[in-house]
Amino acid sequence: MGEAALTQDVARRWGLAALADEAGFDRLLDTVAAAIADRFTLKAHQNLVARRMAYIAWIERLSADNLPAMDYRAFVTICAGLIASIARHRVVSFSAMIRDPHSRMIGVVLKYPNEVVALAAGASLYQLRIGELTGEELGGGGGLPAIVVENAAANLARHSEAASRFRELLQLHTPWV
Amino acid sequence: MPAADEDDNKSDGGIDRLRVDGRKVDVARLRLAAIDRAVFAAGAGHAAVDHDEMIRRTVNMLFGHG
Repeated sequence: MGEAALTQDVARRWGLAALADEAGFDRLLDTVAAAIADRFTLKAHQNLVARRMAYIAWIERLSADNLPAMDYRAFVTICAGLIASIARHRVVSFSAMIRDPHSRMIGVVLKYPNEVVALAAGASLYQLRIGELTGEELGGGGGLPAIVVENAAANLARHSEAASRFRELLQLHTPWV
Repeated sequence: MPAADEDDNKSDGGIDRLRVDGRKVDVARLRLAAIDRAVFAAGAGHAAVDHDEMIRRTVNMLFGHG
């Protein structure tokens, strides 16, 4: 099988179940942390012990969660579970290479690195699947106001239960009514 | 792209002591696959999606392009 065909085959077979494997979980975190670092010209640092603990918490939660029905609510619950599992442990931190003093958003990212990564990881998982379901392209990328991101991160830092409100906190579109 | 630094706490050996319960991983994998099938009809149309690109787009959607 050629490299292109192999890549396409892997993409076709990718599913939520890949996140039950530590490699899949780590890859999602790596990609999210790198994308945020790239966006703000930061250096990302990962604590491997904390990352393993977050993975264990994610697995514990998945195997224990009482999901009444296998419907969209179960999907939202697992996205929230991913956010809560990552936010519970200090997995990621960032150091600034160049910092725009006028950017409030970079201040939020540096103040709440783990919460920001957790929210972005859950939102990415959510958007990935919603995008596949609806065929909608993600919007223009204007970004949320910094105060909205700060509010979401601060809420999550104070109460891990705030993860269950990630769609409202991040103003994510839902195709379900 | 700035590289992720994974050296933190590598030397304390703590990660080796953290065991993952294989049975629970299996349960988790089955649950995730079941949700995927029930909600998203797993397997349909996934080939067209570049997951890393979608993650970058989500990050841009949340934080802006800068």
